[in-house]
Amino acid sequence: MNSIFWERAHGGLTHLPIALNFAAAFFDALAFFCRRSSRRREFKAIGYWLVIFGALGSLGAVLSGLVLTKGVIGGTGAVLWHHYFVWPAFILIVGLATWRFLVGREPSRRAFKLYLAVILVGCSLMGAAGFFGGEMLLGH
Amino acid sequence: MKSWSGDKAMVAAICASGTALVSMLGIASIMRHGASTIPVPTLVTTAQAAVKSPELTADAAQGRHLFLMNCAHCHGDDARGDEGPDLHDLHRSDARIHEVITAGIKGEMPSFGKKLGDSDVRQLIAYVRTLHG
Repeated sequence: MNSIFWERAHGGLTHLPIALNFAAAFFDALAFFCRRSSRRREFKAIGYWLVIFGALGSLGAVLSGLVLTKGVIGGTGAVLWHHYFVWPAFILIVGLATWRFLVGREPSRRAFKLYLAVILVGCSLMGAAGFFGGEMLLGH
Repeated sequence: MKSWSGDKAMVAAICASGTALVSMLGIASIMRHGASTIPVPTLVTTAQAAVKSPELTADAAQGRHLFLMNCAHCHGDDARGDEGPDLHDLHRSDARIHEVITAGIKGEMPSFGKKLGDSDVRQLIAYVRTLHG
C-alpha cells in the first residue's frame, strides 16, 4: 500500500483519539463542576469510557504513523515537531486511561482534580501534535 | 472489578505508559530495519542541517530551511528521495518546478500554493539548483 493510503489512514485514525480525549476532558470537567450527584456520576462514567477508548484508539494512530514514516520516530521540520508532541501525549493518554481504569469511575476529588489537570496537558500536547500534523498536509 | 488505590493505580499507569512506549519504539525499530533498503531520514534538527551547508547563498540557505520544514519528510533530508523522487540534477525549468510546488501533482504530491509564497518557492528552487551529483 502506498504512502497516500497511509497518510489518509493516519489522518483518519488520529482524529478518533483526539476527539475522544477532548470529549473525555470536557465531560470530566463537567463532572468536576456539576453539583447534582446523579448527573456528576453520569458525566464521570462518560469521561471514564471516553478516555479508555481514546487510549485504545491512540494505538492505531501511533501504529499507522509509524508505518507512514517507516519507523522514524524523529525526522525534521514539521515531522520532528509533530513527534516532539506526539510521544509525550501518547504516554500521558495511556497512563491516564490505565489509572482511570484501575481506580474506577469514582476517584477521590483530589485525585480527580490532578487527573483533570493532566488530561488537559495531554489534550494540549495532542492539539499541538495535531497542528504540526496538519502543517504537513493541510497547511499546503 | 474492585477499584485499586490511587497510588497503586498510578504505579500501574506509569508501567503501562512505559510498556506502551517501549513497545512502539520496538515496533519502530523493527520497521526501520525492515525498510533498511530505503534511505531513512536521520534525527537531525533543522539548525544542525543548516550548519552543514555554509557555502549556500542566502536564498538557497533559506530554501534549505524551507525544504527541511516542508519537503524532507517525502524527499529525504538529503533530497536523495524517499517517498518522493531524488531532486538532484533536476532537468526541469524553474517555471515547471514552481508550478509543481504550488499546484502539486494529483495523487502524488500535495500542493504548497497556499502555504508557500512566491519568494518561498523561489528560495526552494534556489536550494534545489544547488543539488548536484
